[in-house]
Amino acid sequence: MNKPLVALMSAVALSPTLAAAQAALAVAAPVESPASSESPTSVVSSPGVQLSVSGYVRTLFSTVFDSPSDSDFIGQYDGFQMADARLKVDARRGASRVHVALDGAVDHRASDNTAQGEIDARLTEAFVEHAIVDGYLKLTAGQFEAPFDAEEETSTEDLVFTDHAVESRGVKGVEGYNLDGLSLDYQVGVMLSSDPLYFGPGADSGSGFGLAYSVAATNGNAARDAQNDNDALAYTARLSLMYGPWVTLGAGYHHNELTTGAPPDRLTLRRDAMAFDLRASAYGVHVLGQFVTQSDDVVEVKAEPSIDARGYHAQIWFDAPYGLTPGYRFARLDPTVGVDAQDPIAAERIDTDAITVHTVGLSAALPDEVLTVKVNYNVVLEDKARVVDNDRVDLLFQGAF
Amino acid sequence: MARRPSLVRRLGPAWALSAALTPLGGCDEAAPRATAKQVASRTELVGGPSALGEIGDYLLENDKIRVVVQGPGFSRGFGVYGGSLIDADLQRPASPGSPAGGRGHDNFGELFPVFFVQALVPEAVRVLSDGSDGGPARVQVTGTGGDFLTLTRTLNQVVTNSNEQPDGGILGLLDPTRPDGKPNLGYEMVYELPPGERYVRLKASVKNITAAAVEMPSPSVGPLLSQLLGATSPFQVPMGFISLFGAGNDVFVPGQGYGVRWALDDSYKVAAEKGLGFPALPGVITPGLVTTSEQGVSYGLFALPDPRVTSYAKAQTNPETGANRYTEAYGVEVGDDAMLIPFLASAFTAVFYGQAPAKLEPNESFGITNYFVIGDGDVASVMNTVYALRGIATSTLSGEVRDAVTGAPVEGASVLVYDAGAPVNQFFTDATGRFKGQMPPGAYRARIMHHPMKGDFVDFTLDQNGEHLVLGAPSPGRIAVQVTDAEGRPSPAKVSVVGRYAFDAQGETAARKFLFEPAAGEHWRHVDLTRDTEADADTRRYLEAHAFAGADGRVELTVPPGEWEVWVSRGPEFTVERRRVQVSPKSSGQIAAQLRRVLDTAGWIAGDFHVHADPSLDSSLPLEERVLSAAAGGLELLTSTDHNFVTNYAPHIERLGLQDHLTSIVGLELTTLEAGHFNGFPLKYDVGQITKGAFEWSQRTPDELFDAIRQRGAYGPDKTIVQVNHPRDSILGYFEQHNFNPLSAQVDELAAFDFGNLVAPSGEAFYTPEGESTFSLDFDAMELFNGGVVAQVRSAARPTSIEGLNIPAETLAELPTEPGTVLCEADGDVAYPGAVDDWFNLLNLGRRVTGTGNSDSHDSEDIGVPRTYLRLGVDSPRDVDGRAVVQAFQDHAALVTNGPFVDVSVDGRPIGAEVRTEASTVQLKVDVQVAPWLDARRGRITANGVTVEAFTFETQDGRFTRTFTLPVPKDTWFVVEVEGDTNLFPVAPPITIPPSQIDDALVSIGGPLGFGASEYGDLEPGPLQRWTPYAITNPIWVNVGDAAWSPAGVRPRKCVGRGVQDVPAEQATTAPKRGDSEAAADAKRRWLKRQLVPSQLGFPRVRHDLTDVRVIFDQFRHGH
Repeated sequence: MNKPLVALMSAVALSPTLAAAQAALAVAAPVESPASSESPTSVVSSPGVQLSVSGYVRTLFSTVFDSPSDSDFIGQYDGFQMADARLKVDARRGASRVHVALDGAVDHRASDNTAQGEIDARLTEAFVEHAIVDGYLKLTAGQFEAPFDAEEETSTEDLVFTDHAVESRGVKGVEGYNLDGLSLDYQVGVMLSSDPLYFGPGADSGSGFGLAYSVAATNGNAARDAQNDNDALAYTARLSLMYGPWVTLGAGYHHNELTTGAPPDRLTLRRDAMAFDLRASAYGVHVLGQFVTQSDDVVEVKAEPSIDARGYHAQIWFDAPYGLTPGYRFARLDPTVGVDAQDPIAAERIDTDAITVHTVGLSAALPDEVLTVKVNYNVVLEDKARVVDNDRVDLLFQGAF
Repeated sequence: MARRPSLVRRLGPAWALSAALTPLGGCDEAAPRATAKQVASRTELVGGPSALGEIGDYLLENDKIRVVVQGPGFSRGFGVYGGSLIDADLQRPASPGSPAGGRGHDNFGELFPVFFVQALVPEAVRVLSDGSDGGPARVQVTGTGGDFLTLTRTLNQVVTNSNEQPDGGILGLLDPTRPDGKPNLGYEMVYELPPGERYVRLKASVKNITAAAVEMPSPSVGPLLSQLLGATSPFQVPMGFISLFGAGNDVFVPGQGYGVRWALDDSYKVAAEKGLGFPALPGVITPGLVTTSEQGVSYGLFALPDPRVTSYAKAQTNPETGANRYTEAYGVEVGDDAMLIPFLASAFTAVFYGQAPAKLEPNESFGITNYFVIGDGDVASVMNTVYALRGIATSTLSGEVRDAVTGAPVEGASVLVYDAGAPVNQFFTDATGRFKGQMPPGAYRARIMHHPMKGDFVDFTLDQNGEHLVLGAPSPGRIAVQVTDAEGRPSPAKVSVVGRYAFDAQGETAARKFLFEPAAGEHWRHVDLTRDTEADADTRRYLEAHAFAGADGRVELTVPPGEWEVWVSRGPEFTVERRRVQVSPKSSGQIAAQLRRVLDTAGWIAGDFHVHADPSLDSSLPLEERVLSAAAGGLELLTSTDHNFVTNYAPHIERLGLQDHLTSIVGLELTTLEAGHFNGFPLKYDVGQITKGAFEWSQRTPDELFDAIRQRGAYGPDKTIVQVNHPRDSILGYFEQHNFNPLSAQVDELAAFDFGNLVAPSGEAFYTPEGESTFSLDFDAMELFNGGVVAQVRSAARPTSIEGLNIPAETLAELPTEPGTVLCEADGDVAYPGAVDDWFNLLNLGRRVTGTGNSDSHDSEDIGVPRTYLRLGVDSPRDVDGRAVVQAFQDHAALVTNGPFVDVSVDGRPIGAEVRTEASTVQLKVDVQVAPWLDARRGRITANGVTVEAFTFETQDGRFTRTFTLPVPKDTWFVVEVEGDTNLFPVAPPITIPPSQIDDALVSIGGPLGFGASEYGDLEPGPLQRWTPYAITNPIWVNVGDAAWSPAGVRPRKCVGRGVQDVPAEQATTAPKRGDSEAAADAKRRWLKRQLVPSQLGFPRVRHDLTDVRVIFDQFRHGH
């Protein structure tokens, strides 16, 4: 990391207020991220290098309607938590840029079903990107979130709702019985990708047909793992087809071989996943639909059925006056939708663990302020295998810069 | 959706918002429910240290607990049949399932119903009710009666009348190869889980499936049995359960505490002394039993008064007095829900509850219901459920435990609650030192047990308003030890803390009565098994604690305050360091020790080829502790041999950084219940199987088992070692169970109509369809010296002196006069055969079987005692190759020892070699090394099974070398034994835990049939043994001349009187044949003679005869 960058980060970290940090920075043009669109609020120029800083802080109050559960906190959580404290820094020179993002509010609980634990600071993104053929071919190397589905491509601070849809984020322990979502974690590897490439009439103005692609080879395990969990890489690809800024049709594919368990009982989990999504915007009305399917096979356990998980959501939101954005989202995650068991009756029996979430949300962004307030009411419906009373109200205070 | 009024107060504005959005609410149903289903994915399984559930089994779960019932077929656990409850745990939503089989805390072994001691052979397992109606979920197991021990087949079928009797009445029963008759009874077990409860109802029943009435016991034999046993009332068949809780659970009986194993022994003795009287069976009377563990899960087994069921214990009335027999003998109240624990041995706990009617009409059934309760680790969490089930009014008892010195909360302390002097409940404290539970109001005493300390009694009264106790836990001290080797590098080591107890003028020798309280759950403390004297405190030593330093050479032990002697050791190749240290509460005594290697074992690697850890049901030792203990004990090669479970220690060795000290190979102990135990190694590790590669053994012949082991060999069938373990260990001994004659080296075929056949093993594992024995010698190695059965190394022989020994007069009169003469029983069998003598016979037959010595360790303290050295030509564990290990076994390049290192050569050729010579003599060189802390004094050279040199010697600087010139008139093998006199305590703690004294139970009920103490009295090798140095080499074969090796043949011997004598070949012992009329007549004469002998304790025991029923239970002598 070069000295100006260190100085900048130190200045931000030591500044008593965000405004003070902003005052120390100049404004620069937006910088593209491989997985999200960012709106840097502060930029500084130094000889040959353009630096920009952005980030957000999100504080969440949740109330989960109590269940008569024996399970300590499951379905029984009411309280505040730090949802995010993200700091992102970009350094650009020529056709290359370096991007580093840290999150200071990573929930690192001792287990899923306890309040005990720590708030960790963790590196989320750290990569170098180089435009080999400007706009057409970029090389990214480092830790990043490989583009796979539309929901995860949306940066957290840009979400209409307080959090991602259930098929993407899963269920946290205190909200209900813990369940992993189908999104991909940050991973270390390399990626080839493009910017949106428009062609035909309107290409210059970005109003015609276009496409964007990405192909990534990564470790395949979570970002917190320092090294690959085995000797197999994961591969992720995504193709987006666009018609101007109004319609985007996307598809993603992911293949990974995960290794689970501690030696000597290490098992190979072969995973294939696909995502399809459609985004459309017109007249201040936005819709997003997404479908993700994932298939897991345990290589060494012959009797273990292949298990398919499936998730999807559809949401609509409006750009209302006064910075208000009301929205509605229907989301469903079924972690065992298809079980390739020898006994079809048995397969059907275990498929009783889907979760459906209806979310009604309202986002209010204060004009000319960094503060946004979001409130969601989540109606959570579980199948009988994981049923618990856990409808939830979320109230989020977000400051993004 | 449920809404709680308190939500309004707690949330305020947030509630207002949510209330406004309420119409959007969903339709979750949170009412408790139970479900039953067949497991389709491992992600549904319970998981945990003892979990054995697999896809295809059946899962019962509600919002509180989860249990797995195995599907039909072969038991994946320690038993024989499927259909058992094998996994049980609380719901743990934070531990979701995984392909490896769940992440719960299951710590349970297995539970199945028994009718007398007959189990259920499942034909079908199905979901009877899946719980979707909101009611209980049910899984049903149906089948017929079967035997988990074929030894008991005839007894079971006589007592339960479960099958049509063979023609010929009792004589027909004497053929162990007979097929079972058509079933008379159908068996059913229903596991029923109600919603919202922490218990499973266990509903076991039998049903008459014939068109005629079925009497129980069988009318053809039952009355005779009752008459012989002196029954004063008809014997009615008890029904209950056998539960294999596993070594990770401590059994607690309300009213007895943790001492149930000793309470059981005492009950046998009291029953014998006071004359409990058949048909009452001796045992512990209890309202139920509970296990506790540190795994966060506990289990209980209870009954409720049931008007449809007659409690077996309650029904035992003395017709002369009208009083309950148990009340008369034991002074206990016997309620309608009383259960009887007739035996508790190894991991098996039997509990009888109901008593069957004397007769079942067609389609009539009889059954019992018990309750299997799951708690969160302690007794109290189980009793909470039991009190609720029984409708007992309770109040809340809570408390906190703080360190007496620092005041800090004490986590994991055991708080025992006593009523009238007996432990009735128990709590574990949580991370904040608190505990809480329900108990009936009353006056109690509480006491803390927090190893290694226990607190004082605190009286309290629990009233309707509850009670909160604040208890102080005594503060222990610590001993910190740092160990280095001669070069100053950190060294693994074993640290033993030795104390001295006060002299007891009464001569009390049972440590549990003066040294610690098993009833309070105190850890066992081994004594040195030295005769106590008042003058010498060193005769009164005990082992307070032990621990192991790892690769960093550091370890810390927690001990009570006081003065202790600390021993630092690293097996027999190293010196030991002894230090005295004074320990105060909350302070540490510091010790630095340096251990030097003093034995030259260049080219040899020390291995233990028989050890267990927590994958074995009867061991609770964590894998890493096993690895650590092995390295600390100076072992260099560790072979995993868990019971029917394949374990791989390699990753644990790496995690502990012990690769410079220890390596491992993968294996298993194929554990049949009664057809022998066989180790196989090196094996493949099948990560995809729940048992990692174990396989079904029931009803398979030895050859089939050996082949199955070899097929799983890591380097192929020809490079896989099959080792016979503890071959003479009664029911666990392969040789013993197959009647392998220690004199003839042939299988004794059973005589027709021998009454001993009533308790003979039977079935396909033992006999071909033609009735021939299936015994096979197609194994590679056998244990000469097993650490669990020290007395079975050599056949018991007349000692030099018998002064002061209590020997029955009849035996004493016939006792051979020559010391060293192998003892015989009255009927002409060797009294107590030894594995080495069997091995000599096999060598004389030309079978080149490698002799081994292994610890069979189930705990950490006794690993590597004894051990087997292999000559691999390397010195570092990093250089050990699995194929080379196999080759060393196949080359017989092995030495067995618990201390002395003995190398032998013949004409310069090493152990295991075949020497060719044309000379009439050879030069046999013996090289003995011993560490300074032990001795070696005597040696013996055996040639073709005959001792040709017996010598004494003294070592100089720990070494003795001598060359013997020995004649070789023909092909000859030579084996050398060396022994000493040092008590290896505390480095090798003695075997001080006697097996459960089932003998006493049989004595108390079986006197009329001749059940009694040994015919040899004090000459019988006892179960308690201390270690003295002993080593035995593998042979060196001397081939004289050019011809192929010609074995000497079995040495002709036979029992003459009470001693084995050499005889001319034509007079040697021959095996009786089936149908031998003389043998059959002899058997009848012996049996009839026995009926004429009045009941008495101490009646001679005759091997393989009816009196030997107790061998059924003797198996539990095995060091479990």
